[in-house]
Amino acid sequence: MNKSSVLTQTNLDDLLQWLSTDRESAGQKYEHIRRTLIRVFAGRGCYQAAEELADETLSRVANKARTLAVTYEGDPFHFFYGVAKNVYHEYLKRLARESASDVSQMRNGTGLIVQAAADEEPDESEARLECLLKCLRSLPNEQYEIVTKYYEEQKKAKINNRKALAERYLLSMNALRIKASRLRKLLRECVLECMANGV
Amino acid sequence: MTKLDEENLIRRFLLGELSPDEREHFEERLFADEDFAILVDGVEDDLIDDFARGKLKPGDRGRFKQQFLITAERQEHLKFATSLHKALTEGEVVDDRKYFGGWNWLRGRPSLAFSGAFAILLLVSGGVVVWQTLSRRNAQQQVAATQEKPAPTPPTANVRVGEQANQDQGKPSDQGSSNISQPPIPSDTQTGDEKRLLDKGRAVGRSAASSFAVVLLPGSLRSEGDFKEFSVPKGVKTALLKLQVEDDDEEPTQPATYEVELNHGEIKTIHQAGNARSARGSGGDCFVSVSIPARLLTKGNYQAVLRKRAPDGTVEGVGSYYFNVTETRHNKH
Repeated sequence: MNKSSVLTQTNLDDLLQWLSTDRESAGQKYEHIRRTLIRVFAGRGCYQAAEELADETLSRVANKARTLAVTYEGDPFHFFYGVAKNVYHEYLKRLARESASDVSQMRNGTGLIVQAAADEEPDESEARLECLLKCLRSLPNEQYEIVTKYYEEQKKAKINNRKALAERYLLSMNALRIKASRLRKLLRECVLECMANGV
Repeated sequence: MTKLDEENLIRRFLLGELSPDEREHFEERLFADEDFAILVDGVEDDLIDDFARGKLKPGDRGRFKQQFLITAERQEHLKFATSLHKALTEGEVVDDRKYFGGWNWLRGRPSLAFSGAFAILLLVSGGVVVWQTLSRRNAQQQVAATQEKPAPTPPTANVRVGEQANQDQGKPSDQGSSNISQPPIPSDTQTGDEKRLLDKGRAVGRSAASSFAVVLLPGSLRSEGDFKEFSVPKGVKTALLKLQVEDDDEEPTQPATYEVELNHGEIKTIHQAGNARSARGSGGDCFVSVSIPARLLTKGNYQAVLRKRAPDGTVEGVGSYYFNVTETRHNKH
């Protein structure tokens, strides 16, 4: 992997400028691209390295962003995807050069990560729940209902519940899903902030 | 492709089950189509929820752990999903918002709504009955408080218990009820309110005997000889101390209030009352009246300290009133 492709502030600014002249919109696009890259690499089996490979991709594109802004025509996302495929192939070559034991260590590392996620301290779990309840209570009634009813039921009851919600709020199913997903993201951020500030 | 097919495809992608060609096509769409990416977010949330609730098949569960929980952010998502699942299934969230959004919730539960309404009706009815009972009892106590028991020793200059004065005026000492054992307060010390209550009390039965009144004048010296004496009669629950005060020449727009502190020997303060007002008796004197639970007046010497609080908040001492309880024949509570 090319370790010299570190994302500097200048490069990042160039990249954001290329994505959008509006800084906030550019930031959202950047986040979307990063998450998509992680999804792509994880979907290709690069479990532990997915984040690292995503950042590598972003750095390489950012290095060329100033030039791309002038010369490139087309959807920037395609360019990112092309670079990501190159990064992936280089990763495979690296894996092939390294010993099998290293590869299995990387694979086992994934198991450790999962174990760490499962072993959350009871205090932390309680604090999280308390923060979640607090954040839920802060939602206006409509948003509260969407979040609680959207995620409440299982399987068929879930589908019926969501249909009823969509009808109630005059939303398409897709729009409802988007709304619920955004609310969920808001809640997650609220909970993280609450936990950081202490319950 | 139907919505369900699309969601199934997304789930397969997230669990690493797509063929290389399917995967490449999927990835291109992920980058290019933001709406599709949001749909993937939604399916991802559902997948996390299924994992948190233990609803994934064993094979999917293993793939989920291997493919998905690979970043700190995703682990955080899982922890959040676990908390959300707990909040929704343990009823805290729903119960909490039921209180605030109660109407919609009640509409779906008519039997509970009916039970709740019936319970509220019972409570309100009970409250009305209790209030009426207390009001009636209070009126009776007020009436009884206008009557005084005769002192066992001849009345001194500082204690007037009223029987003599009433007899002088030709009023029967047991006016009000045949069950009332206390003589009424001398008419010239009765305030307007007390008169009305006394008239009302004439129609009241034996409960009017539950209180008695003592008129006290400010004492000069706290020596033994100056203690005014009386006994607390049996069955009485309340003692009404009527402390004579000087009449204010001017009537302020905001009348002063009085504070009374009752001290008993070494124990010091046994009762305090505030926000009392002076009232003029029919004889022209002014009194500050304070009700004391009779059970507090055990045998011994007492001092009632009276202070006046002006409308501007300043407090000044008015006087001390000394008395001695010689005997108590009230029931212990």
